[in-house]
Amino acid sequence: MMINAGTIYETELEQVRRAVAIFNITEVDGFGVTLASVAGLRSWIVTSPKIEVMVTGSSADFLGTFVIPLRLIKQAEIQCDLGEEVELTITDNIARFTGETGFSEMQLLDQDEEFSNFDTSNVTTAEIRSSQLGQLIFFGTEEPTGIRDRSVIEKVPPVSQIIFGAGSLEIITSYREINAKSIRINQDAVICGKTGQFVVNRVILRSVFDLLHSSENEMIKISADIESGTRMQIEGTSWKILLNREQFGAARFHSQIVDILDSANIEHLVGADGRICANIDETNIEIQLLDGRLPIARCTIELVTGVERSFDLLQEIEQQNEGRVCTKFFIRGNAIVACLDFVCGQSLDLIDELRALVADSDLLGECLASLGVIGDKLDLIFES
Amino acid sequence: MATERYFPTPSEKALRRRFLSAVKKCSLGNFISADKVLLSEYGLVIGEFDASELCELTNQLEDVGQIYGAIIDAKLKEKPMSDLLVKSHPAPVDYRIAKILPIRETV
Repeated sequence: MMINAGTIYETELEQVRRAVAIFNITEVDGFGVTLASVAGLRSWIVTSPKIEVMVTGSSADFLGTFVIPLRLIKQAEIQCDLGEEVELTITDNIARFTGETGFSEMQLLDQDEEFSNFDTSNVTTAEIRSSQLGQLIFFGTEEPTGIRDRSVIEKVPPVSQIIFGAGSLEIITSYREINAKSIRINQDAVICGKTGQFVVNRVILRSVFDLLHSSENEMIKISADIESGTRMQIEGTSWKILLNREQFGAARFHSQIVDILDSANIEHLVGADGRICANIDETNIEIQLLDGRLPIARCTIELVTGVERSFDLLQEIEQQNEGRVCTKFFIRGNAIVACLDFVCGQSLDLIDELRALVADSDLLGECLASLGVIGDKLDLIFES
Repeated sequence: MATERYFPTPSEKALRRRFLSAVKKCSLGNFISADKVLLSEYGLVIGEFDASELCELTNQLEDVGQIYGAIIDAKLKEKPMSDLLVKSHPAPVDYRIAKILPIRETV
């Protein structure tokens, strides 16, 4: 049975080629570009765990999905360039582009993909001309000049902040890790909904520029649920893209810490605000990520609660702090806390450091508690 | 009746030393001196106290017990994990608490 997917012009195939340039499509694993008819329009779909793209072509009404090899699409685009249009037919698992001067065909692949639904409730939208968005993306994601060694730029987390402001859209990219200045680009836009920021992958965002390049200064709509959305949609008249949200600052180490605890089979709990409580050597350690000069995982153990700030207690804590490296002790409310500020992204082993914190705090709670409960009446006796 | 002298084992001697050390740490050394703590074939024997000594010793033991109880009350009920994550804490100076956003899990 032959399926006719319609007559295709160069602009459509060019846009498909530009869209798929974002991806690394492994033909040998059966991946290509999934073709389907969605609402009576020819739709070309490519997805990866971090980004999904759908390019919509002209009308075509057929059933089923077909995975076309990227090589064949590139060839068809050249065919179009020579003869203005090609016809796509699929017969017995073979896709064939037929032009004025000949045809090209290949067997279909088998890894068909689907473009996910995007939840538009609670979204903030920005409408902006493609030329302005192109400027935002091109300059907002540009790397500092003069860096030839890729390993240097790889030290920078690959993220950019997209700010939905009042009447403007903004991209900010920081290069603090390599002592380069951050860049901030702002363009007027029509914003509807809550203002705020949405962080996406800088490298993937930059690749969107290629798609904008093919648009004729059309209006582009960007939508994201700033509070709780996990994806942002960028939509032109004939294409749309879904980009994953990324963590920003110290938060990007959150999943790494959870993974480390998982791998080490350490019992842990993640709170609603992202704080982690891990049980190491039968001691509960609270881990909170902090943003500042350095990304910090503050690891604390509540040694003892219900203590008063007696002079003896404060003196002992002072002596403990002077005599320790890394681990420190302080009073928070009516609790004595042992604390380790772990700089994220270092090569140190987090689990080892947590164990050291537990070891440093061993039995100290009871000793310090005695000082906090009865003040200067009881001397702290240490056995050598 | 003559009694045979008892020779304690090294372990028993060590236990006696530890006991005397604990007595000293509890500030009970004035009441239970080393010469009152003897090892015999029947075990550890704490020597004789008159009524006033026993009264003072009892008071002192009660004080120690109260202090220990206060320490236990202050600490040793370890909170469950979920309780620790209820109360938020302030960030240190020049730092702010990182906002953990919802993201898609990617394999």
